[in-house]
Amino acid sequence: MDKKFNWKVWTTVGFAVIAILQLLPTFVPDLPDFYTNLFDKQLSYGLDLKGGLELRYTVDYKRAIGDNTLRLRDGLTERLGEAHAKTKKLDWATLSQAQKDEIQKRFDITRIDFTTLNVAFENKEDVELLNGDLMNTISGDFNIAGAGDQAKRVSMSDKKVLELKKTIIEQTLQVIRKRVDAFGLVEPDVRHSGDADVDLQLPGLSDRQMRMVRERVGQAAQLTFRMVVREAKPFDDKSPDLQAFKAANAEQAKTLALVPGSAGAYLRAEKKSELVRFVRSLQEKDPAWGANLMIGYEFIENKDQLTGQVTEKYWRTWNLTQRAELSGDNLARANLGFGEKGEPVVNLEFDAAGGRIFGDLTEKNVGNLMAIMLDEDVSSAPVIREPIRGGRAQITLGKGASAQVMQEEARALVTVLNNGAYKAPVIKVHDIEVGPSLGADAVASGLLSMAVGVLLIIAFMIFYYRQGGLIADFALLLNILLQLGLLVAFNAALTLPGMAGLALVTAMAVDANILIFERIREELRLGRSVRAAVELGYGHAFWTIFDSHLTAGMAGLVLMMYSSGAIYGFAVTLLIGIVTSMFTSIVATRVIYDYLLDHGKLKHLSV
Amino acid sequence: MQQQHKHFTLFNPDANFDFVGRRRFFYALTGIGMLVSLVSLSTIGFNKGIDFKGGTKLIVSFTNEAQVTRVGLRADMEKALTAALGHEAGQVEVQEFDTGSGGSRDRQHFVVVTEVTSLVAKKAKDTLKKQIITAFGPNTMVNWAAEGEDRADIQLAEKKPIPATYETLKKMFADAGFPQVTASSGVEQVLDNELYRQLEMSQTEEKKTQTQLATEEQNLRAAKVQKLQTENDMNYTVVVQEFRSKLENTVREKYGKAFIGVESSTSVSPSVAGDMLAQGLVAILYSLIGIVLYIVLRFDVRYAPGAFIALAHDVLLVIGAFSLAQVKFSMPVIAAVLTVAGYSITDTIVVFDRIRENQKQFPGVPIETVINAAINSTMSRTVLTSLTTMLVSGAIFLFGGGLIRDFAFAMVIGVIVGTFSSICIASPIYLFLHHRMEKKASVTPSSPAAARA
Repeated sequence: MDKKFNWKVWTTVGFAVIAILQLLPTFVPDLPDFYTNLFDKQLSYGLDLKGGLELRYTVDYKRAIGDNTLRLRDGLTERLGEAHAKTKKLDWATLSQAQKDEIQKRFDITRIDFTTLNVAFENKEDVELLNGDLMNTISGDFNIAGAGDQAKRVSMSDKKVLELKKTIIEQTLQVIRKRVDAFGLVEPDVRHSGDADVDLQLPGLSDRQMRMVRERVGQAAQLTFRMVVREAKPFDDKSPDLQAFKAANAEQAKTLALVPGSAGAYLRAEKKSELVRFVRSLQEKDPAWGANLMIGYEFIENKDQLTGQVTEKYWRTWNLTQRAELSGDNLARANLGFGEKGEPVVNLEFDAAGGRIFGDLTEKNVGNLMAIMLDEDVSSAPVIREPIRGGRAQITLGKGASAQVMQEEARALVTVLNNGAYKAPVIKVHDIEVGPSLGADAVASGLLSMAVGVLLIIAFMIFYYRQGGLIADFALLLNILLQLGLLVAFNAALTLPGMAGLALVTAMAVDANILIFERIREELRLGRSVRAAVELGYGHAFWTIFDSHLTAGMAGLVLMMYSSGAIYGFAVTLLIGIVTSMFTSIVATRVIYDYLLDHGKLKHLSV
Repeated sequence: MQQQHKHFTLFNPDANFDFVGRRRFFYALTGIGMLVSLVSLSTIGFNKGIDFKGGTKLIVSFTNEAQVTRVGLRADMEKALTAALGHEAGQVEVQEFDTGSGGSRDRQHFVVVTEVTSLVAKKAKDTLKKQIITAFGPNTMVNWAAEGEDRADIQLAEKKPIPATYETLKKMFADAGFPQVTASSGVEQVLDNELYRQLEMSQTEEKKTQTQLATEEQNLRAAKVQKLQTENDMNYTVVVQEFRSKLENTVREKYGKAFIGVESSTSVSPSVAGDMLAQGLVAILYSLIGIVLYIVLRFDVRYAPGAFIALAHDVLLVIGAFSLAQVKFSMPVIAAVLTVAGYSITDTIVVFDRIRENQKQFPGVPIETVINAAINSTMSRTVLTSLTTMLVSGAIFLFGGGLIRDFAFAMVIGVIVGTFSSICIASPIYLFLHHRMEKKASVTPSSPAAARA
C-alpha cells in the first residue's frame, strides 16, 4: 500500500464519517447532549416543502438617488445665483426675492436621468461660473462635463452611485429585518438577493401572522426622539423583585442583572426577551409602576479600540419620556460629516416645524440624554451640550474610541436616522404562500421520483458494467450521502427543485464513472494489463471530468446569483453535487480498484 | 488478451460512423430546428407563467366527493372577479392539478391563474386619495403602495383620536366599495409588536398550551383596544382585504364544506415580472459566455464557436419547444435550461478532449478522421450518460407532480438536443474553423502543419 492509496482511503472514510455525523441529528431523534453540542444542525426543508410565506421586495434605489439629484438641483440654482451676483459685485444675502429670481432665470437646470443634471446657460459668459470649486461647496460627489458651449452636465460619479445604492439597500434590509424580528417569529430569514431585492422566508406562520407580516413589512419603522428621564428611578428599589423573578424563572432570566447608573439603575441581559419579560412582570404586579415612563431597549456592542473586535454585547434598558418629543417625519435628512478635529459626526437637518420643536427641546434639556429610537429600540443616546436652534444639529460620537470605530458608529446611526421614513420605495415582487399539506405532498412525490430515478440508475449500472457498476453505485450512494451532509453543514434548505437537482446530479455523476470505465475498456482492448488500464483510464479521464464539472458549475453559479427561494435551493444542490461527484467518482472509486489490484483479487476486470 | 474481458456493449467498439461526412445534413437539421424555434418564439411567443407576466395563482383543494369541474370553477371565479373589480376582468385559467405520485389521494386540486393582483384599480385609488385629503385637510399626505398591494399610508397634519379616525377611514373605503379593510395607526403598530412578542415568548419559552395562548391573546388584544381608545396619532395605514381572500370567500360560499381551502397562493407584481424574464435570459447568456471563455482558455479559440453554437442551439430548442407546445414558461424552466447547458457542455468537452488527444497522438492523420474517431470512441459514453440522465428526468416527469413537471419536461428535451448538438454541431464547426485557420497559416510555409494541409 503506497502513500497515494493511503490519503485516498483516509479522505474517503473521513468525509463519509463526517457526513454521517452531520446527518445523524436529522434522522435520530434522541441523541445524547454531548453529541448535539457538537452536531446540532438538521437537514431543513425549504418553504415549498414545509409550508410558509416567501416575500420578495425590490428596492427602488434609483428613485432615492434621483431625489438626491433633485436636491442638488436646488442647491446648485442657489449657488450659481450667488456666484453670478458676486461677479456683479452684489451681495446675494441682501437681494430681494424678485432680484434673486431674475438672476436665477439665467440658468435652466433639468434632470436628465437619475444621476445627471443638465445646466443650460442663457449667457455664454456664465458658463465658467459652474466649476469644480463651486461644486465642492455643495457636494464632492459630482463630476462636471462640458455639453456644447452653453451647457454643462453635472453627474454623480459611478463610485458614489454604487456606494449610495449599497447604503440604501442595506437600510431597507435593516428596516425589514427589524420589522420581522418584532413579530418574534421562529427563524425568519431576511436577505439581500439579486441586484436590489430583499428576500424574506418565513416558515410555519398562522394565517393571522401572514396577514400581519404582509401588512407591516413594507412599512417604515417609527423613528422618534425621546428624552431620557433622570428623576424617576423605577428600577432603583427593584432588587428584591429581580431576585424573586430570577428564582421563579431561572432559565429565562439567566443573564438578567441590575446595574447602578447615573440616571438611575438599569437592567441588562444577553437577550432582550429577558428584559421585556421582567419589565412586564413589574407592570403586572403594580400597574402604577412606571406609568409615566416608556422603557426603551438598547443593544450595546463594546468593541476593542485597537482591533475593532466585539468584546462584549448585551441589551440594556433606558427610562424614557412616554411622549415622543419629535418623530422621524420632522427629520429632513441625516448624513455623515466630520467635526472640527476631523472626528466623524452625524449631521441632522429638520424641517421648519421640527427645527422649532428641537430648539425648544434642547434648550430645556441641556446636559440630558436624548434617545433616538426605532420603534421601542434605542439606537443611540447622545448628550445635549447646548440649545440647538436653526433646525441643524450635530451628534458627536463617544469619546475615546478609535477613529474607525467612531466612523462605523456614525454610519450606523445615519442609517437608522434615515430609516425612519423609507428613503427608497419598496415594491413587492412576489408573494408565495404554501400550505403545509401541499408541502407534505410535494415531499412525498419528490422523494418517490428521486428514489425511482436513483434506483433505475443503480440497476442499470450493475446490468451494464457488472463489477464496475457495483463500484460506481457505491460511489453514487456515497455521493448522495456527502451531498446531504454538505447541505446540513451549509444550512442549505432542501427544496422540491433541489430534490430534482439531487437526482439529476446523481445521474450526471455516474457520467464520470462511465467516462472512466469506457476508457478502461478501450485500454483493455488495446491489450494493456489490468493495472495499466485502470491507471490510464483514470488518468485520461481526469481532466475531461475536471473541465466538464467546472463548466457545468459555472451555469449553476449563474443560476444561484439569479434566483431566489426554491430555485436557489436547486442551484445550491447542483453546485454541492458537482463538487462531491468529482470526489466520489475520481477518488472514492479508485480506492476500491487500488485495493482490489493490490490484493491481487483483480485478474479479470469486469467493467 | 481481449477475450479475457467480456463486456456488455451497446455499441460496436470498432464502429466507424462518418459523422463529419454527414455534417451538411446535420447543419440542415440544426438550421431547421433553430428556425422553427425562432419562428415559434417570434409568432406564438411564450406562454408566460405568472413569474414572468405578473398575476395571482391559487391552488385550491376540494374533497373527492365535491362536484367541481374545471369549467364550473372558472365561471365562478370570473363572476367573482367581475363583481369585485366592477368591470370585465381578464380571463381566468383553471386547470386540474396533480400533486404527484406521492401526494395524498383524499382530495382534488385545481390551479386558478389570473393576471389580476389587486382589487383597487388605479382610478379608485386616486378618488380615495382625494376624498381622504378633503376629509382631513390639505396637509394630509396619502401614499398608495406600489401595485400588487392595496395599502394606503396616510399621514395627517396633526394627531387625531385613533378610534374616530379609524371609523372615518373605514366608512370612506366602504362607500368606495371596499367594505373589508383593516386600519391601523403608528401607535397600534408599536403595541402590536409588543403583543406579538409577548405571545411568542409565552409559546416558545413558557410552553403555554393552545387554549392558554388563545385566552392570553384575547386579553392582550382587549387591553390593546382599551389603550387605543384614548390615544392620538397622525400616521395611519389602511389595507384593503387581499384579492386572494376575496376569491377564497367566493369559493367557500359556493361549495361549502366540500371546499378544503387554498393550499398555496403566489402573486407576482406585473411591473417587476417582465424584468425577471429578461434577467433570466441574460443569466443564460452570461453562463454561455462564461463557459465559452473557459473553453478558449483550456482548449483554443477554434473550439469556442462550436461550443457556443451548440449551447445556443440547445437553449433555443428547449425554449422553442416550450413555445411550440405552449407549456407554461416559468422560473424553474430557466433553471432547467441552465442545467441543460451544463449537461450539454459536458458532452461537448468529452468529444473535444478526445479530438485534442488524438491530434497529439496521431500527428499527420487527416483531421476528419481524427474527429470521427473521437466521436465514435466516446459514443458509447455519450449515449449511456444521456440514458441515465433521461431515466431520472423521466422519473421526475412521471412521479414528481405539477410543481416540477415543467422543469422535468425541459430536462427531457434538453438531454435529447444536448446530446445531438455535442456530436453533430460542435465538432463539425470545429472542423470548419480548423480548415479556415490552416488555410490562412499555409501562406507562411514555415508551419509544418500547414504544409501537410
